[in-house]
Amino acid sequence: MKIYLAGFKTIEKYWKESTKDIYLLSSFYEHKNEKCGNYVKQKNHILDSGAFTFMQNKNKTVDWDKYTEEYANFIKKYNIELFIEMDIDSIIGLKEVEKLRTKLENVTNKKCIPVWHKSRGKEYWLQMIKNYDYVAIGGIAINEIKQNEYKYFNWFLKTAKKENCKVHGLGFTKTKLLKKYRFDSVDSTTWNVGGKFGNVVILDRCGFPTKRYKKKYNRVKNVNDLNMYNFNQWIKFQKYAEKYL
Amino acid sequence: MAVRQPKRLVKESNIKIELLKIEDLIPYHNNPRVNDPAVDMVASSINEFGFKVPIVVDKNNIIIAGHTRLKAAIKLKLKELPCIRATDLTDAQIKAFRIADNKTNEFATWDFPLLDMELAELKEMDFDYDFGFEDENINIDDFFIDEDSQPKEKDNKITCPECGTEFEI
Repeated sequence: MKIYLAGFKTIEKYWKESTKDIYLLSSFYEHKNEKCGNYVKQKNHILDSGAFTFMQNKNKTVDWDKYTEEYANFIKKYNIELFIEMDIDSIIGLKEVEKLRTKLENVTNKKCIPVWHKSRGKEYWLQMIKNYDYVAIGGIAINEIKQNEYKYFNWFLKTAKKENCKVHGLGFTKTKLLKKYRFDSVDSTTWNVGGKFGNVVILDRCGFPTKRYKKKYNRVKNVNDLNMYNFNQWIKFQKYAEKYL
Repeated sequence: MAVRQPKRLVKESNIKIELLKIEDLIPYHNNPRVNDPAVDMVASSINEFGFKVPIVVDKNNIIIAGHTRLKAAIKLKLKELPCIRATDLTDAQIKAFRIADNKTNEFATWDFPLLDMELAELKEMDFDYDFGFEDENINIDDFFIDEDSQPKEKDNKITCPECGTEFEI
Protein backbone atom coordinates (compact mmCIF):
# COMPACT_ATOMS: atom_id res chain seq x y z
CA MET A 1 0.00 0.00 0.00
CA LYS A 2 1.20 3.47 -0.80
CA ILE A 3 0.91 6.06 1.95
CA TYR A 4 0.99 9.52 0.42
CA LEU A 5 2.14 12.16 2.87
CA ALA A 6 0.23 15.42 2.57
CA GLY A 7 1.33 18.78 3.92
CA PHE A 8 4.95 18.58 2.77
CA LYS A 9 4.80 22.26 1.88
CA THR A 10 5.21 23.16 5.55
CA ILE A 11 8.71 21.72 5.68
CA GLU A 12 9.64 22.01 2.02
CA LYS A 13 12.17 24.79 2.52
CA TYR A 14 13.97 22.90 5.27
CA TRP A 15 14.06 19.59 3.41
CA LYS A 16 17.47 19.20 1.79
CA GLU A 17 17.24 15.62 0.61
CA SER A 18 15.69 14.19 -2.52
CA THR A 19 11.98 13.51 -2.48
CA LYS A 20 12.00 11.14 -5.41
CA ASP A 21 11.36 8.06 -3.28
CA ILE A 22 8.74 9.69 -1.06
CA TYR A 23 5.04 9.44 -1.85
CA LEU A 24 3.61 12.94 -1.57
CA LEU A 25 0.19 14.46 -1.98
CA SER A 26 0.00 18.18 -2.43
CA SER A 27 -2.66 20.66 -3.26
CA PHE A 28 -2.87 22.95 -6.28
CA TYR A 29 -4.04 25.69 -3.96
CA GLU A 30 -0.70 25.57 -2.13
CA HIS A 31 1.19 26.08 -5.37
CA LYS A 32 -1.21 28.51 -6.98
CA ASN A 33 0.48 31.72 -6.00
CA GLU A 34 4.04 30.65 -5.46
CA LYS A 35 6.78 28.63 -7.01
CA CYS A 36 6.30 24.92 -6.48
CA GLY A 37 8.95 22.35 -5.76
CA ASN A 38 10.10 19.83 -8.32
CA TYR A 39 8.38 17.08 -6.39
CA VAL A 40 5.10 17.91 -8.13
CA LYS A 41 6.58 16.39 -11.27
CA GLN A 42 7.60 13.13 -9.68
CA LYS A 43 5.60 10.01 -10.45
CA ASN A 44 4.85 9.22 -6.83
CA HIS A 45 2.98 12.44 -6.29
CA ILE A 46 -0.77 13.07 -6.29
CA LEU A 47 -2.16 16.54 -6.78
CA ASP A 48 -5.53 17.58 -5.49
CA SER A 49 -7.34 20.75 -6.35
CA GLY A 50 -7.39 22.33 -2.90
CA ALA A 51 -10.75 23.76 -3.91
CA PHE A 52 -12.14 23.67 -0.39
CA THR A 53 -9.20 25.54 1.09
CA PHE A 54 -9.42 28.05 -1.72
CA MET A 55 -13.08 28.66 -1.04
CA GLN A 56 -12.51 28.94 2.68
CA ASN A 57 -9.94 31.66 2.16
CA LYS A 58 -11.70 33.42 -0.66
CA ASN A 59 -14.93 33.85 1.32
CA LYS A 60 -17.02 34.79 -1.70
CA THR A 61 -18.51 33.27 -4.82
CA VAL A 62 -15.93 31.27 -6.71
CA ASP A 63 -15.65 30.92 -10.45
CA TRP A 64 -15.14 27.15 -10.47
CA ASP A 65 -14.73 27.05 -14.24
CA LYS A 66 -11.80 29.39 -14.00
CA TYR A 67 -10.33 27.56 -11.04
CA THR A 68 -10.59 24.25 -12.91
CA GLU A 69 -8.93 25.74 -15.94
CA GLU A 70 -6.01 26.99 -13.85
CA TYR A 71 -5.80 23.63 -12.12
CA ALA A 72 -5.78 21.84 -15.47
CA ASN A 73 -3.13 24.17 -16.89
CA PHE A 74 -0.93 23.55 -13.86
CA ILE A 75 -1.28 19.79 -14.39
CA LYS A 76 -0.37 20.22 -18.03
CA LYS A 77 2.56 22.50 -17.33
CA TYR A 78 4.15 20.08 -14.87
CA ASN A 79 3.02 16.96 -16.69
CA ILE A 80 1.38 15.58 -13.55
CA GLU A 81 0.12 12.03 -13.92
CA LEU A 82 -2.01 11.59 -10.82
CA PHE A 83 -4.51 14.26 -9.96
CA ILE A 84 -7.82 14.30 -8.17
CA GLU A 85 -10.98 15.73 -9.63
CA MET A 86 -12.62 18.86 -8.23
CA ASP A 87 -13.93 17.21 -5.10
CA ILE A 88 -16.74 19.64 -4.35
CA ASP A 89 -19.95 17.60 -4.64
CA SER A 90 -21.30 19.16 -1.48
CA ILE A 91 -20.82 22.70 -2.77
CA ILE A 92 -21.98 22.60 -6.37
CA GLY A 93 -23.55 19.17 -6.71
CA LEU A 94 -22.51 16.13 -8.69
CA LYS A 95 -23.76 17.33 -12.08
CA GLU A 96 -21.53 20.40 -11.94
CA VAL A 97 -18.62 18.35 -10.65
CA GLU A 98 -19.03 16.07 -13.67
CA LYS A 99 -18.87 19.07 -15.99
CA LEU A 100 -15.69 20.25 -14.30
CA ARG A 101 -14.28 16.74 -14.54
CA THR A 102 -14.90 16.70 -18.27
CA LYS A 103 -13.24 20.07 -18.60
CA LEU A 104 -10.26 18.97 -16.49
CA GLU A 105 -9.78 15.83 -18.55
CA ASN A 106 -10.22 17.63 -21.87
CA VAL A 107 -7.64 20.29 -21.07
CA THR A 108 -5.11 17.85 -19.60
CA ASN A 109 -5.92 15.07 -22.04
CA LYS A 110 -5.57 12.66 -19.11
CA LYS A 111 -7.92 10.85 -16.80
CA CYS A 112 -8.25 12.21 -13.30
CA ILE A 113 -8.89 10.30 -10.09
CA PRO A 114 -12.61 10.71 -9.50
CA VAL A 115 -13.76 10.83 -5.88
CA TRP A 116 -16.69 8.67 -4.89
CA HIS A 117 -18.93 9.93 -2.11
CA LYS A 118 -21.69 8.02 -0.41
CA SER A 119 -24.21 10.37 -2.00
CA ARG A 120 -23.12 9.13 -5.44
CA GLY A 121 -24.58 5.72 -4.72
CA LYS A 122 -23.77 2.13 -5.62
CA GLU A 123 -24.31 2.20 -9.38
CA TYR A 124 -22.09 5.25 -9.70
CA TRP A 125 -19.30 3.37 -7.94
CA LEU A 126 -19.68 0.39 -10.25
CA GLN A 127 -19.48 2.68 -13.27
CA MET A 128 -16.50 4.59 -11.88
CA ILE A 129 -14.41 1.47 -11.38
CA LYS A 130 -15.28 0.31 -14.89
CA ASN A 131 -14.30 3.61 -16.47
CA TYR A 132 -11.23 4.49 -14.43
CA ASP A 133 -7.96 2.79 -13.46
CA TYR A 134 -7.68 4.74 -10.23
CA VAL A 135 -10.51 6.10 -8.08
CA ALA A 136 -10.77 7.57 -4.60
CA ILE A 137 -13.24 7.21 -1.77
CA GLY A 138 -13.90 10.54 -0.09
CA GLY A 139 -15.66 11.78 3.00
CA ILE A 140 -13.91 9.40 5.38
CA ALA A 141 -12.27 12.17 7.39
CA ILE A 142 -15.60 13.87 8.05
CA ASN A 143 -17.57 10.78 9.03
CA GLU A 144 -19.62 10.83 5.86
CA ILE A 145 -18.67 7.16 6.14
CA LYS A 146 -18.83 6.33 9.82
CA GLN A 147 -16.45 3.98 11.54
CA ASN A 148 -19.15 1.35 12.00
CA GLU A 149 -19.55 1.40 8.21
CA TYR A 150 -15.88 0.67 7.48
CA LYS A 151 -16.87 -2.98 7.23
CA TYR A 152 -18.28 -2.12 3.80
CA PHE A 153 -14.88 -0.98 2.50
CA ASN A 154 -13.91 -4.49 1.52
CA TRP A 155 -16.88 -4.65 -0.84
CA PHE A 156 -15.56 -1.52 -2.57
CA LEU A 157 -12.04 -2.88 -2.69
CA LYS A 158 -13.14 -6.24 -4.01
CA THR A 159 -15.37 -4.84 -6.72
CA ALA A 160 -12.61 -2.48 -7.82
CA LYS A 161 -10.02 -5.23 -7.88
CA LYS A 162 -12.22 -7.26 -10.17
CA GLU A 163 -12.16 -4.34 -12.59
CA ASN A 164 -8.39 -3.83 -12.17
CA CYS A 165 -9.06 -0.46 -10.67
CA LYS A 166 -6.96 0.95 -7.83
CA VAL A 167 -8.61 2.62 -4.85
CA HIS A 168 -7.27 5.55 -2.84
CA GLY A 169 -8.71 6.17 0.63
CA LEU A 170 -8.79 9.96 0.87
CA GLY A 171 -7.78 11.08 4.33
CA PHE A 172 -7.92 7.55 5.74
CA THR A 173 -5.54 8.12 8.60
CA LYS A 174 -6.40 5.28 10.93
CA THR A 175 -3.16 3.44 10.41
CA LYS A 176 -4.05 0.49 12.63
CA LEU A 177 -6.95 -0.30 10.31
CA LEU A 178 -4.82 -0.37 7.19
CA LYS A 179 -4.14 -4.06 7.70
CA LYS A 180 -7.84 -4.71 7.59
CA TYR A 181 -8.73 -2.49 4.67
CA ARG A 182 -6.14 -2.87 1.97
CA PHE A 183 -6.56 0.26 -0.08
CA ASP A 184 -4.04 0.61 -2.88
CA SER A 185 -3.16 3.98 -1.44
CA VAL A 186 -4.18 6.42 1.26
CA ASP A 187 -2.95 9.84 2.30
CA SER A 188 -2.30 11.37 5.63
CA THR A 189 -1.20 14.61 7.24
CA THR A 190 -0.90 12.96 10.64
CA TRP A 191 2.90 13.27 10.63
CA ASN A 192 2.39 17.03 10.72
CA VAL A 193 -0.10 17.11 13.56
CA GLY A 194 1.08 17.82 17.04
CA GLY A 195 4.67 18.85 16.32
CA LYS A 196 4.14 22.17 18.03
CA PHE A 197 2.88 20.35 21.11
CA GLY A 198 6.03 18.32 21.17
CA ASN A 199 4.53 15.06 19.98
CA VAL A 200 7.27 12.79 18.78
CA VAL A 201 6.34 10.07 16.32
CA ILE A 202 7.88 6.71 17.05
CA LEU A 203 7.34 3.46 15.22
CA ASP A 204 6.06 0.51 17.20
CA ARG A 205 7.53 -2.97 16.85
CA CYS A 206 5.22 -3.64 13.95
CA GLY A 207 6.44 -0.59 12.04
CA PHE A 208 3.35 1.52 12.72
CA PRO A 209 3.62 5.16 13.80
CA THR A 210 2.52 6.03 17.27
CA LYS A 211 2.96 9.21 19.31
CA ARG A 212 5.11 9.83 22.31
CA TYR A 213 4.21 12.97 24.17
CA LYS A 214 6.77 15.32 25.58
CA LYS A 215 6.81 16.18 29.22
CA LYS A 216 4.31 18.83 30.22
CA TYR A 217 5.53 22.44 30.12
CA ASN A 218 8.68 21.61 28.17
CA ARG A 219 8.82 23.93 25.21
CA VAL A 220 9.82 22.54 21.85
CA LYS A 221 13.03 24.27 20.87
CA ASN A 222 12.54 23.93 17.17
CA VAL A 223 9.20 22.85 15.78
CA ASN A 224 10.62 22.45 12.29
CA ASP A 225 13.25 20.01 13.50
CA LEU A 226 10.57 18.00 15.22
CA ASN A 227 8.33 18.08 12.15
CA MET A 228 11.24 16.91 10.01
CA TYR A 229 11.92 14.10 12.46
CA ASN A 230 8.26 13.06 12.44
CA PHE A 231 8.18 13.27 8.66
CA ASN A 232 11.18 10.94 8.49
CA GLN A 233 9.44 8.47 10.77
CA TRP A 234 6.46 8.45 8.43
CA ILE A 235 8.75 7.85 5.47
CA LYS A 236 9.90 4.70 7.26
CA PHE A 237 6.26 3.74 7.68
CA GLN A 238 5.69 4.43 3.98
CA LYS A 239 8.40 1.92 3.16
CA TYR A 240 6.96 -0.61 5.58
CA ALA A 241 3.46 -0.16 4.14
CA GLU A 242 4.66 -0.47 0.59
CA LYS A 243 6.34 -3.75 1.40
CA TYR A 244 3.92 -5.37 3.80
CA LEU A 245 0.46 -3.83 3.50
CA MET B 1 19.29 -31.12 -10.40
CA ALA B 2 18.19 -32.54 -7.06
CA VAL B 3 16.81 -30.00 -4.60
CA ARG B 4 18.53 -30.10 -1.23
CA GLN B 5 16.25 -30.23 1.77
CA PRO B 6 17.04 -27.73 4.52
CA LYS B 7 18.91 -29.49 7.36
CA ARG B 8 16.21 -28.97 9.95
CA LEU B 9 13.49 -30.34 7.68
CA VAL B 10 15.43 -33.56 7.18
CA LYS B 11 15.93 -33.82 10.93
CA GLU B 12 12.24 -33.38 11.53
CA SER B 13 11.16 -35.96 9.02
CA ASN B 14 10.78 -38.39 11.88
CA ILE B 15 8.53 -36.06 13.80
CA LYS B 16 6.53 -37.73 16.57
CA ILE B 17 3.12 -36.62 17.69
CA GLU B 18 2.45 -37.31 21.37
CA LEU B 19 -0.92 -37.16 23.06
CA LEU B 20 -0.54 -35.06 26.21
CA LYS B 21 -3.06 -34.48 28.96
CA ILE B 22 -4.39 -30.97 28.81
CA GLU B 23 -3.52 -30.33 32.47
CA ASP B 24 0.11 -31.22 31.75
CA LEU B 25 0.51 -28.44 29.22
CA ILE B 26 2.02 -25.24 30.59
CA PRO B 27 1.32 -21.89 28.91
CA TYR B 28 4.46 -19.78 28.55
CA HIS B 29 4.28 -17.11 31.27
CA ASN B 30 5.50 -14.32 28.96
CA ASN B 31 3.51 -15.20 25.88
CA PRO B 32 3.47 -11.87 24.03
CA ARG B 33 0.43 -12.67 21.93
CA VAL B 34 -3.03 -11.37 22.86
CA ASN B 35 -5.20 -14.24 21.72
CA ASP B 36 -8.47 -14.07 23.66
CA PRO B 37 -10.48 -12.58 20.76
CA ALA B 38 -9.46 -15.56 18.60
CA VAL B 39 -10.41 -18.34 21.03
CA ASP B 40 -14.05 -18.70 19.96
CA MET B 41 -13.15 -18.91 16.28
CA VAL B 42 -10.44 -21.49 16.92
CA ALA B 43 -12.81 -23.50 19.12
CA SER B 44 -15.38 -23.44 16.37
CA SER B 45 -12.77 -24.61 13.86
CA ILE B 46 -11.64 -27.48 16.14
CA ASN B 47 -15.26 -28.40 16.67
CA GLU B 48 -15.89 -28.56 12.95
CA PHE B 49 -12.63 -29.99 11.63
CA GLY B 50 -11.04 -31.68 14.64
CA PHE B 51 -7.75 -30.88 16.35
CA LYS B 52 -5.59 -31.06 13.23
CA VAL B 53 -2.68 -28.78 14.14
CA PRO B 54 -0.63 -30.10 17.06
CA ILE B 55 0.65 -27.88 19.83
CA VAL B 56 4.41 -27.39 19.93
CA VAL B 57 5.99 -27.78 23.38
CA ASP B 58 9.49 -27.83 24.81
CA LYS B 59 11.02 -30.60 26.88
CA ASN B 60 9.18 -29.35 29.99
CA ASN B 61 5.75 -29.20 28.30
CA ILE B 62 5.87 -25.41 28.12
CA ILE B 63 4.00 -24.24 25.05
CA ILE B 64 6.03 -22.77 22.22
CA ALA B 65 3.21 -22.49 19.67
CA GLY B 66 -0.47 -23.15 20.27
CA HIS B 67 -1.62 -21.03 23.20
CA THR B 68 -4.89 -20.16 21.46
CA ARG B 69 -5.51 -23.80 20.55
CA LEU B 70 -5.00 -24.73 24.21
CA LYS B 71 -7.54 -22.13 25.36
CA ALA B 72 -9.99 -23.33 22.71
CA ALA B 73 -9.45 -26.95 23.77
CA ILE B 74 -10.15 -26.04 27.40
CA LYS B 75 -13.33 -24.34 26.25
CA LEU B 76 -14.32 -27.49 24.38
CA LYS B 77 -13.45 -29.60 27.47
CA LEU B 78 -10.97 -31.76 25.55
CA LYS B 79 -8.88 -34.08 27.70
CA GLU B 80 -5.79 -34.75 25.57
CA LEU B 81 -4.11 -32.85 22.77
CA PRO B 82 -1.71 -33.87 20.00
CA CYS B 83 1.67 -32.24 20.63
CA ILE B 84 5.05 -32.05 18.98
CA ARG B 85 8.05 -31.78 21.25
CA ALA B 86 10.67 -29.44 19.81
CA THR B 87 13.68 -31.04 21.46
CA ASP B 88 16.03 -29.93 18.72
CA LEU B 89 15.70 -26.19 19.47
CA THR B 90 17.92 -24.19 21.79
CA ASP B 91 16.37 -21.93 24.44
CA ALA B 92 17.00 -18.92 22.21
CA GLN B 93 15.46 -20.63 19.18
CA ILE B 94 12.40 -21.53 21.24
CA LYS B 95 11.99 -17.92 22.32
CA ALA B 96 12.41 -16.72 18.72
CA PHE B 97 10.11 -19.34 17.22
CA ARG B 98 7.38 -18.36 19.66
CA ILE B 99 7.40 -14.89 18.10
CA ALA B 100 8.19 -15.88 14.51
CA ASP B 101 5.33 -18.38 14.36
CA ASN B 102 2.86 -15.57 15.04
CA LYS B 103 4.61 -12.76 13.21
CA THR B 104 4.99 -14.53 9.87
CA ASN B 105 1.20 -14.89 9.56
CA GLU B 106 0.85 -11.15 9.40
CA PHE B 107 2.55 -10.90 6.05
CA ALA B 108 0.05 -13.01 4.17
CA THR B 109 -2.99 -11.36 2.59
CA TRP B 110 -6.08 -12.54 0.73
CA ASP B 111 -6.59 -12.79 -2.97
CA PHE B 112 -10.21 -11.66 -2.81
CA PRO B 113 -11.46 -12.92 -6.19
CA LEU B 114 -10.07 -16.40 -5.44
CA LEU B 115 -11.45 -16.29 -1.92
CA ASP B 116 -14.87 -15.34 -3.26
CA MET B 117 -14.74 -18.28 -5.66
CA GLU B 118 -13.88 -20.68 -2.87
CA LEU B 119 -16.63 -19.32 -0.62
CA ALA B 120 -19.14 -19.50 -3.47
CA GLU B 121 -18.20 -23.13 -4.13
CA LEU B 122 -18.67 -23.95 -0.46
CA LYS B 123 -22.10 -22.37 -0.62
CA GLU B 124 -22.96 -24.53 -3.62
CA MET B 125 -21.81 -27.56 -1.63
CA ASP B 126 -24.21 -26.49 1.14
CA PHE B 127 -21.33 -26.13 3.55
CA ASP B 128 -22.34 -23.50 6.05
CA TYR B 129 -19.52 -22.16 8.19
CA ASP B 130 -18.75 -18.80 9.76
CA PHE B 131 -15.14 -18.00 8.91
CA GLY B 132 -15.37 -14.66 10.64
CA PHE B 133 -14.86 -12.52 7.57
CA GLU B 134 -16.23 -9.14 8.50
CA ASP B 135 -18.05 -8.70 5.21
CA GLU B 136 -19.20 -12.29 4.79
CA ASN B 137 -22.73 -11.66 5.91
CA ILE B 138 -23.17 -8.02 5.06
CA ASN B 139 -25.58 -6.73 2.51
CA ILE B 140 -23.91 -3.86 0.71
CA ASP B 141 -27.32 -2.35 -0.06
CA ASP B 142 -27.73 -1.64 3.65
CA PHE B 143 -24.94 0.89 3.25
CA PHE B 144 -26.83 2.91 0.68
CA ILE B 145 -29.64 4.39 2.66
CA ASP B 146 -31.00 7.52 1.01
CA GLU B 147 -31.55 9.72 4.03
CA ASP B 148 -28.05 9.11 5.27
CA SER B 149 -26.35 9.45 1.96
CA GLN B 150 -26.99 13.07 1.15
CA PRO B 151 -24.22 15.57 1.86
CA LYS B 152 -24.85 17.30 5.14
CA GLU B 153 -25.42 21.01 4.96
CA LYS B 154 -26.38 22.83 8.12
CA ASP B 155 -27.61 26.37 7.49
CA ASN B 156 -24.97 27.90 5.27
CA LYS B 157 -22.13 25.80 6.65
CA ILE B 158 -20.20 23.26 4.70
CA THR B 159 -17.54 20.75 5.64
CA CYS B 160 -14.41 19.96 3.65
CA PRO B 161 -14.66 16.25 2.73
CA GLU B 162 -10.91 15.78 3.11
CA CYS B 163 -9.82 17.63 6.22
CA GLY B 164 -13.15 18.10 7.99
CA THR B 165 -12.85 21.86 8.36
CA GLU B 166 -16.25 23.51 8.60
CA PHE B 167 -16.80 26.96 7.15
CA GLU B 168 -19.52 29.27 5.94
CA ILE B 169 -20.52 29.81 2.36
